[in-house]
Amino acid sequence: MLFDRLDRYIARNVLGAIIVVQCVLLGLDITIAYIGDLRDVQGDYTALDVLLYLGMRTPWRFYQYAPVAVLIGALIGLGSMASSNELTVMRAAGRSLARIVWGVMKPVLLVVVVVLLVAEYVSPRSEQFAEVWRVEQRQGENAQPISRSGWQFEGDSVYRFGAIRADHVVLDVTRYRFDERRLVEATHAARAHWEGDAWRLENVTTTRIFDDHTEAAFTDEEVWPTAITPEQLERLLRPIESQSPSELWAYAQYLREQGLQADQPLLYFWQKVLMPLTMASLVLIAASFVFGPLRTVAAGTRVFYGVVTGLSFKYVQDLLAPASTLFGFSPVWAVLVPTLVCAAVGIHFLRRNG
Amino acid sequence: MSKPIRKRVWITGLVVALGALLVWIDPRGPESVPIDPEAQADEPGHVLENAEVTLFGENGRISQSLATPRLIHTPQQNHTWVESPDALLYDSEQRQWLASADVGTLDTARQALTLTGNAHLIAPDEGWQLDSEELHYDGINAHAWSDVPVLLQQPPQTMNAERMDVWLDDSRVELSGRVRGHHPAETNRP
Amino acid sequence: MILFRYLTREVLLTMAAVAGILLLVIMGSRFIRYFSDAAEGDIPVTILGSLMVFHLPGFMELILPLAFFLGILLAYGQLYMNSEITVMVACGMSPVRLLRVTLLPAAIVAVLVGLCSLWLTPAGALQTAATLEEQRSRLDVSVIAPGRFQDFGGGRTAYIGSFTSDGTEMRDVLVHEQAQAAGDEHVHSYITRAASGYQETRLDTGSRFLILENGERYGVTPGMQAAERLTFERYTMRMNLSQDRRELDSLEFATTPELWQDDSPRAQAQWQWRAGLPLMVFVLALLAQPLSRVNPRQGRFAKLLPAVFLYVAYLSLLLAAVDAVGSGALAVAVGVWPVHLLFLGLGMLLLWRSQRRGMR
Repeated sequence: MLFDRLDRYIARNVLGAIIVVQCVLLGLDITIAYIGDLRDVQGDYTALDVLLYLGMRTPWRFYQYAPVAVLIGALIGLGSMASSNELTVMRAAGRSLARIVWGVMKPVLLVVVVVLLVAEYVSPRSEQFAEVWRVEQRQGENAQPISRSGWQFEGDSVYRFGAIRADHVVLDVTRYRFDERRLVEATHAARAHWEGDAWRLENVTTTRIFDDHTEAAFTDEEVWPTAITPEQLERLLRPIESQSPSELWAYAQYLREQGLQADQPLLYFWQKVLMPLTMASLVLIAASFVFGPLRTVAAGTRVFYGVVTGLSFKYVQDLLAPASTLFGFSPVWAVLVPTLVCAAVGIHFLRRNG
Repeated sequence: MSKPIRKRVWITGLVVALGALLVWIDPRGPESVPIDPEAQADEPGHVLENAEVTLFGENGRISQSLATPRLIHTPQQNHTWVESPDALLYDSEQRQWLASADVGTLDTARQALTLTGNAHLIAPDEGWQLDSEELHYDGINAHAWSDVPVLLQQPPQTMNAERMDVWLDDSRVELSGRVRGHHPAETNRP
Repeated sequence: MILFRYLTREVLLTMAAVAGILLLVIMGSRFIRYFSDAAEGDIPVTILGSLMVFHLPGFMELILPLAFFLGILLAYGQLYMNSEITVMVACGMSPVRLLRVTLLPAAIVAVLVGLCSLWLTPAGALQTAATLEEQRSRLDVSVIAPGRFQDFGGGRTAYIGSFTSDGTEMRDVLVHEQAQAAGDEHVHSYITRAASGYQETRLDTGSRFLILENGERYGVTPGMQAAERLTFERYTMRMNLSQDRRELDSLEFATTPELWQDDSPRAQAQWQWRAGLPLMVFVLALLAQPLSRVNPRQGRFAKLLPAVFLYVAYLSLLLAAVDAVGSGALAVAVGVWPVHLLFLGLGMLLLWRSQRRGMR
């Protein structure tokens, strides 16, 4: 039977612990981030807006803390069963060590699949929406230089873009047009809409500078003659790590076609796609700590050691992957090799302790 | 029970200590030169050589332009200092008044210019010139004034005064305070 | 008394373990985030280590109270599980006496938290800002890849077209600055474009200069006719920003004694926040004890989730009150203390209930 009563019991315990740990981590991190972000409260961008902004970014924080929460949750679930000697009962009832560990893996993989769905569909949109919402909130009084603006050269003009919305609407577009090194025209448009094949600018203010005088003009709408496509702006304005795996893959292919180096998007892509495997290997290592003769050490201590080892392996993986691409490893191996090593070490410990 | 407990404390202490140590011994940057804050405070933010400043007014027309071999702007004190400035002051009819001095300071936001050290103000095509040790000019309402002894030269006559006010738009000059004129005899007018 | 020592050690050990894990998690994720910034060249790797150490008190100030709260919950939960509490009750231990026992660890943690919040965190925050600012003035321009826009921090962005073969001189340099003059709420933006440029460092002040040659600098706001044009033969620009002094004296960096004297609402609010944290530890201790009562079937992690929500609610109410006092909505005299009193009252209520029902 794939999923019998004992498996269900283990799954309930582990899932409960994972949810609790995720809430603890999210609650703490959001509080710390809130205190940190209070600094950019200004004018009508109030503390409530900061809270709203952080609320919108919760899916992305959820994604970031999920692996750690799964690792600690699985361990605490196992640990609590071990401390009430239920594990010994199970093994006495003839359930092999591997079946128990597999019982723990099922909820872990379930949670990881949920996390992957969030990474594909929810967090990229929520990150983009949050960023755009913040630009719109603070655009009222541009007293605060926008921190994450994107710049682009095209012909004799330099463009600066505030942010891009999911429906391809770009906010806060500034253009400086030069003739050689002399600035001829400075233009600002609140929004730019993509109309299928061309851009339309909305509430455009312009200042033209001549040798002996300047002219200012304001138009409601204006056509924007440019070769820049929405996809280019998407890549320019959206941080790479929070993009969904499919977007990362498309971006990597696009870079390959251009003959450019596509290591960075590929690395993030493989890190996201191979997450079930990496998580399983981490839980394997950590779980090996919980099993083993309970007489000598209290369960709580084992959980602690398991968590610390699991975390250090996770951070080694996170630091090793970008570093290895520097040495020319292809991103796939940069993520896969540490995972396989972890799994091997885990299995070895399990067999020894089991 | 006490042996494992001590072990647990030892482990936690080790982790925190290791974290702090690992974080602290990171490769220290190049030996940092001790910075003295006074030098940093009045260190100029922007120094421009052989520069030409052009200010456009609210109406889009040039209100002032100024050429200088050396301009120093210190953002902390929001202070712009120019060396031997040659300035062109434009009035409402865009006539160009010439102004120069040894040293000047400029506030681009309020378009206020202060010239010190044998300052001259030359009126366009009317042939008179004002010399003084200090000359203030407010670009927004085109008004120049000086409250130190000033010499008005309108060849062949010259006039001295304690204080003077000039409104460029209607080129009106007002001299006040012990005004003394010197009018050479009619004969040697050129 | 042995029981006293046993309980205190149990609580402190669990707290140390929980604090260690939370610290490792939070510091770890922040380190990874900073590491990816460093990889992109935003902040150099060398200052990564000192940045984390300066952030440590800021984290401890929040993690320690939570860890202590969870520590009590888990430790006493464990005692309930092993029904040691029932044994204690049999020997005449009442909730109030148990509370007196937990007061000692609470005092130790409160001192630690107070040390962090009143002294270390402001100093750490000041050091972080100073390091970042100083690092920004040392930013080596030649490290920037040509053909890419690089953010210099403080609203300044630079673009370098290309480098000469020996890499010392730059061709076609563009610099965009957004400066806010003191006292003027409007942001002016300046754009400078020059044919060539190189960089120098002044040894005594340690500031790095970008020297541009044959170029023009424009101060213009689209839509407004008032503008400023400046053509130059050579333009020496200091890299770090002018108003670094202004940034450094914001309330967050002020030392506690300074806050105490300055009686503006914002300063008083910040002071009340910092003084409130050690107090919070005692209130949490009071709250944790009745909450830790758990029956063996539920397992000792059952009460963890409600406890965390309580903690986050407590903190957010505190933050809201600080913000209200700061913005003048709440009188400084009243200040933040009602929030502490509210949770103290809640704790008293829970304690009274468990006292009456006798800790079964």
